[in-house]
Amino acid sequence: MPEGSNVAVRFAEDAVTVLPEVAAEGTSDA
Amino acid sequence: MRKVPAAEVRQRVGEVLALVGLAGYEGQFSGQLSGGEQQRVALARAIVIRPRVLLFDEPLSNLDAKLRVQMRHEIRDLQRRLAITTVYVTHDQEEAMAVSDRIAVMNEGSVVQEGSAEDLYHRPASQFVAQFVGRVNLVAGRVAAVAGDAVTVAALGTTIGARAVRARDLAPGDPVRLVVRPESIAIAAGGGADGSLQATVIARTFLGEKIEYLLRCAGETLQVVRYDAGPGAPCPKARTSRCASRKMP
Repeated sequence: MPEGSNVAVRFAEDAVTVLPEVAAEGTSDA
Repeated sequence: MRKVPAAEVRQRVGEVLALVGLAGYEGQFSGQLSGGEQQRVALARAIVIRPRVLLFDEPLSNLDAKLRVQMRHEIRDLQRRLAITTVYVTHDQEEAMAVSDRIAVMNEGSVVQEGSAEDLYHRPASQFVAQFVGRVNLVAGRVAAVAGDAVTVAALGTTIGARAVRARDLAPGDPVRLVVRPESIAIAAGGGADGSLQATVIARTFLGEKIEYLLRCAGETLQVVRYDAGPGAPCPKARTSRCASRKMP
């Protein structure tokens, strides 16, 4: 699909997770 | 060495060098070894004392990318053969997934999620973990309905069904984020038919075995990854000896 083209988009079944919105989250700290 | 008789020291050093693939290197100086070989010597020095637990703290950070991948396989293989409990600290998420049975993701000194690589990747408990482990689309939306763990979310100008990690904490109208991995999005030429969303390709990057797309969809930017099966891919039907044609994505 070249840049500028229109495409149909589908999310795979059972591949979408919902998380509550958060104001801000920190950075990584291994 | 830890009050071990000299003969046993020689035997153990020989065994451990063989274990890390450096048999015959006993007489070499460190300057005569490559980066990977020096890393193997460090590993041999750690395991020759037969520890009950091994701690690796960013062991591959000084190596180039190709050697890092090779060494992480070697460390994983060695850890399995020796069956030593191992704690491995890394900032490299792919490395963490490659070498571990269990991963603990830490943020500001606290463990924020612990589980298998699959758990963390497919069932992140927070936006931090979703973003920290792999690439992800976080699409803004609002809860339209909740039924058990199934949540319907108004997003991208439509409603989308999804699973929630803590659905009982959600109520209609709550602002949420949809977590969608780039490889979980299918795209096809044209748009909008059969209930699918319509988007515009704003960037396409060919990366060999995969193509990365950036799409503009209802005001949001979506990252999409599609893998190119390549000319050597098996034919879809077993009896077909040659694939007649292959559509390029």
